Amino acid sequence: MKPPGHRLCDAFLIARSVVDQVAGRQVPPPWEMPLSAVLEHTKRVLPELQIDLQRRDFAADQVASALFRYPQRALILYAGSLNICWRRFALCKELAHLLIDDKGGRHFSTDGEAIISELITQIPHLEPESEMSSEMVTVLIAMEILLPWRQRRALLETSRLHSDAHLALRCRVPEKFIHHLLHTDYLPFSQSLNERLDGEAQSSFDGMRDGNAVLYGRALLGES
Amino acid sequence: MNAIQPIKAPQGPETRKFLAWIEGERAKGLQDISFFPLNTAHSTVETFSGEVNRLLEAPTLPDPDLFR
Repeated sequence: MKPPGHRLCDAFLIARSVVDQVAGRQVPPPWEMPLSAVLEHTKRVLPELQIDLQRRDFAADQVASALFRYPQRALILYAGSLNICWRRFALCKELAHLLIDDKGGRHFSTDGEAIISELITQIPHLEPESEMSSEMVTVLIAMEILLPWRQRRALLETSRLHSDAHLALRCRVPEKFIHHLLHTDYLPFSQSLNERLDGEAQSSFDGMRDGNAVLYGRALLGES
Repeated sequence: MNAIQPIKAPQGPETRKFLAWIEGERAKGLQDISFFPLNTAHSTVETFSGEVNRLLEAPTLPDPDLFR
């Protein structure tokens, strides 16, 4: 089960709260926000958690940091190869993760494969009403354009005989999007949504046949 | 139309290793995981899992500049 997304306004409220706590009434706040104060604030908000920061002797390429949360401990590992700016940013990001996730665990997930898959494809959790950035939405649009719904069945059948790499060459689409399309929950999600849209398109077509074609065309063009 | 189900992708050794680690940590109460990704343009679940495994196994370093 995928956890729900966060509202952007909630994320902003949390950031403002942290800055208020850390920088007090200073206007403007200090140029270098003290990470130690952010850490202390997080510990005050989550007194039940022992927060353990560990710099690891590790050359980062794909992963800057990782957070593993337990009921009474949060282990944050970060790559020793990062410069101080990246180390601070990575740690602040993980602390923000602790702050934004409610204690009830509604947003928690230990589905490592799903978490990684979402990160590397930059495709968000599939919730029809979830908030997401235009950057993420445009990834979905490109995927739906280059791997159209109408060819989905054929692609699935072909995938039983050929590798994702073969399909990628065939479709000229990056392999990771072939993988995401065929092997994750995106598949039933997109099917459900496409079928709903198919149904709505059919209704609109029926409306056009009833003599509403001009009105429908104007609506499509955004005209009143 | 019946719902199309995703085809389970084969897991490589690094992915299996990381998932096995998670399984062990769940028994110790692991509740949540988060990553901060860097360059994932050419990543796969397998290569990303490999990096996470190396991060988990790497020795700890001092970081005297962190809170200066």
